[in-house]
Amino acid sequence: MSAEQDLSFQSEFIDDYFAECEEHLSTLRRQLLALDGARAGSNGAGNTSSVTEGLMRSLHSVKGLSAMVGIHEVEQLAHHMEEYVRGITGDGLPFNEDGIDALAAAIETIEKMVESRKAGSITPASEEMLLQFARLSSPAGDSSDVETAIVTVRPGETLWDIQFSPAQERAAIGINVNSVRERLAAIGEILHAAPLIREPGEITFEFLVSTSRRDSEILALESDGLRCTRREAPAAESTEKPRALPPSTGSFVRVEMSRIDDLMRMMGDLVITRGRLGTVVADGRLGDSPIGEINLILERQLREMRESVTRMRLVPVGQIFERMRFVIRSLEREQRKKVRLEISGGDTEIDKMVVERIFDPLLHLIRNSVSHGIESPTDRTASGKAPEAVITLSAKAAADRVHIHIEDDGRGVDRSRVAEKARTLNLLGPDEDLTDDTRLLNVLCSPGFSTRDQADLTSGRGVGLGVVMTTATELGGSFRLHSVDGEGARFELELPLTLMIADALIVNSAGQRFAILQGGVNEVLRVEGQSVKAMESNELIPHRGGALPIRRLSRIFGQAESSAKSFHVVVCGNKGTSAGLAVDRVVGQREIVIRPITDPLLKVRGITGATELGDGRPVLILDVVELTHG
Amino acid sequence: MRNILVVDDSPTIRRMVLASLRGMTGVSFQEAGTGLEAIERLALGPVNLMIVDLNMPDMHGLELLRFVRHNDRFQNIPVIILTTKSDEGSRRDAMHAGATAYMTKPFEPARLIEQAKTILEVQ
Repeated sequence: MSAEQDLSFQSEFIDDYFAECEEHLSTLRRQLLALDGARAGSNGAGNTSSVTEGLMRSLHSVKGLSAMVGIHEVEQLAHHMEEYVRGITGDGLPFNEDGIDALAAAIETIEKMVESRKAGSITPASEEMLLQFARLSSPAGDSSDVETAIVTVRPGETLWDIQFSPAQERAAIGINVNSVRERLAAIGEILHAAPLIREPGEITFEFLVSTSRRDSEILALESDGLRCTRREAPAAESTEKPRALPPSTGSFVRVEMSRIDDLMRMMGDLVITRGRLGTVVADGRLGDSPIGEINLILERQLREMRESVTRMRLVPVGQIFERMRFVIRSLEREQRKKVRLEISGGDTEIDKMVVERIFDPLLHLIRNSVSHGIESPTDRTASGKAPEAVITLSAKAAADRVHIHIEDDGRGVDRSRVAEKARTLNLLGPDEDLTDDTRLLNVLCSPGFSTRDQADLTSGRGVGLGVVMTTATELGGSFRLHSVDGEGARFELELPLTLMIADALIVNSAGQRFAILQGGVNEVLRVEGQSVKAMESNELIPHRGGALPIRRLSRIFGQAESSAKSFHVVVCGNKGTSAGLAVDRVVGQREIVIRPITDPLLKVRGITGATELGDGRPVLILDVVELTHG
Repeated sequence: MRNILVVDDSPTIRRMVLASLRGMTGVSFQEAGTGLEAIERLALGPVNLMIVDLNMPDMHGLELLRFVRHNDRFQNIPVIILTTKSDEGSRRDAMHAGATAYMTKPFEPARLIEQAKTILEVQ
C-alpha cells in the first residue's frame, strides 16, 4: 500500500478512533482506581487479577487502534504500559504506589496526545515516561491466555447457573446471546460466561450469575428459553469485585461532536429565519391569511426540535467527577491528609461543551478544598472531627440550569486571614470585614490574591479562584461561596444546561439595539428620571426599600444621552450585590442564537457575543454583570 | 455467497476490516464484538471464513479458536487471526491452536484481502 493510500485509509477512521479512545481512557481510569483501591485495601494479588487483565486488554486495544491510524506515540506508550502491567502480574507482584502513579500520569499523557492530534498541535513528549516504565518494568512474563473464573458471591446473594441455546426463531425476536447477557447483567453480576457443547454440534452458553433477586424472578427467565439452576457457593470475603463484562452499547450511535454543532448551527439559522417570518406576519400586511397560525405552529415545532437537538449534546457530568478521584488521590499523598470523595448526581446531564469548560475550574476547586480547607488528620481529631475528611461533589439539574456543589467538612475559609491579606493588597478598607460570603468570594477571586505566603504546587498562586469566576460568568452562570468557620465550605456553580440558543431581552440605547441574556436578569424596572440620585461616581435609585446602584449603558459606550423622562433598568446580580443597567427602552423578548466572539482582537469588555435578529440585523450581546459590576 | 465473520471487540477495527474487504465480490459480512456473539453467529448460520482478534474481553481469541476447532460442526472453518501481538510465542500458540493464517495489526488492507481470497479459493 502506498503512503498516500495509507493516509486516506487512516484518516477515514480517525474520528472513530478518537471516540473509541475516549471510551478506553475512561475505562482505564476506572480500572486503575479499582486496582488502587484493591492495593490500599491489601486484598492480595489474587483479587486484582481480573482488574489487571482488563487493564492490559484496554491498553492493548488502545495500542492496536493507535497503530492502525498511525498515531505511534500513543501506540508506544500504551505498549510500555501494557508490558509493565504484564510484568508485574506475571511475577505475581503487587502494584506499588509509584507504579500506579506512573500509570495514572501515562493515561493523562495519552489523553493529551490524542487531544493534540485532534487539534493538530504538537504532541507532548513521552520519552521520560517511557524510560520510567522501562525502569519500573521487570522482564515481561507470560500471562495465561485463559482466565479462570473465581466464584465469589456477596452475602445475601444467590448463585445461578443459567443456560441459553441460540436458535433462529429466538434470534428473530431479539433473544440472542447479547440480549440475554444484558438482561442478566441487569439483574445481577455475571461471574462467568462460556460456550458449552452439549451434544455434537449443539451450542449452549452458560452464565454464572450472582444476584440478590428473588428465585421467582430468575425462574421467570425460563419462559424465554433459558434454563436456570440454582447453585450453592460459599460466600466470599471480598465485597468488591469489578464488573466482569462491559455494558452493551447496542442501542447507541456515535456521532462526531462537530456534526451536532453543525446541526445546532443550522437549527440556529432556522430560528433566525422563523424570526424574520414572525416580523413579516406581525406587520399585518398579510391580512387574514392562515400564515400567522402556521408561523405559531412553526415556532412551537422549532422550539421542540431545538430542545431535542440540545439533548443530543448532553453528557453525564459524572465523567469529570470520577476524574477528580485521581486528583484527590495524589493530593492525599502529597499533603498527608485523608480525604474521601463522595459523588452524587453524577448522571446529571450537561452540554458537552460546558463540561469541557468547567473541568479546570472544578479541578481547581477540589485542589483548593484539599490544600486550604481540609485540616491534617491530627488537627481534625483535635477538633473532634473524624480524621478522614469528606469532599462532596454533587450535581443537580433544575429547569435549564445545572447546579454543581463542591462541599468540604474542613475548617472553612479563614476570614480574618483573608481580610488581613486583602487589606495589605488594598482590596479591603481598614474598617471593612469579610463576614459576608459574597464579599469574601469577591476578594478571593481578585487577581493575584492568595493567603498562602508561598505558592504551593497544587493551588498555585491564587489566580485559580478568579478563573473559576470568569469561566462561570463567561458561560452565563454564577459562582457562589458558603463558608461556616470550623465546619467547612461549599462552592456553588450554577451553569446553563446548554449554550448556543437562549432567551434574551432586546433593549434599545441611543437608537442602537442590544441583547441581554435573560438567564442573568432578575427584573426589569421602569424608572422616572427624577427619582435618580446622582452620587460621586455612580447613580442610585430607590428599590425594594434600599438603594440600587445603576449605570447607564449610553455613558459606558459613549453614546448620546437620551432626554426622555423615564427609562428602563435591567437588574441583575446576586442578592446584596444587585446592580442595574439603565437603557432607553426594553424592546422585547426573543429567542436568540449566540455567536461567541472569540477573536481576541475583537474582545470588548461587556460584550459576550453577537446575534442576528429577525430582521437580519446584527446585534451585540451584553454581559450585564461585567457592565454593572466591572 | 460466502459469509465472512469479523470478530473484534473494537468497532473501529471491525469497520476497518470490512472496509479493507469491501472490494471482494460474492461475499457477505457478519460482525461480532465478543467471542460468545461469534459462536452464536456460527450456530445460527453458515460461516465460510472467520477473522478473529486475540485480545478480547471475556473470551480470548485463542479460546474462541480452540472452541471452533474442537467442535465437529465448525472445525473446518478457516480462521485468520488478526492481532496486535507480533511476538513469535503468540504466533506459535495460534498456529498450534489451528489458525489458518496469522496477521498482525496494523495490517495492510491489500494483504488482508489477498489472504481472504486465497483461503476462500482453496476451500
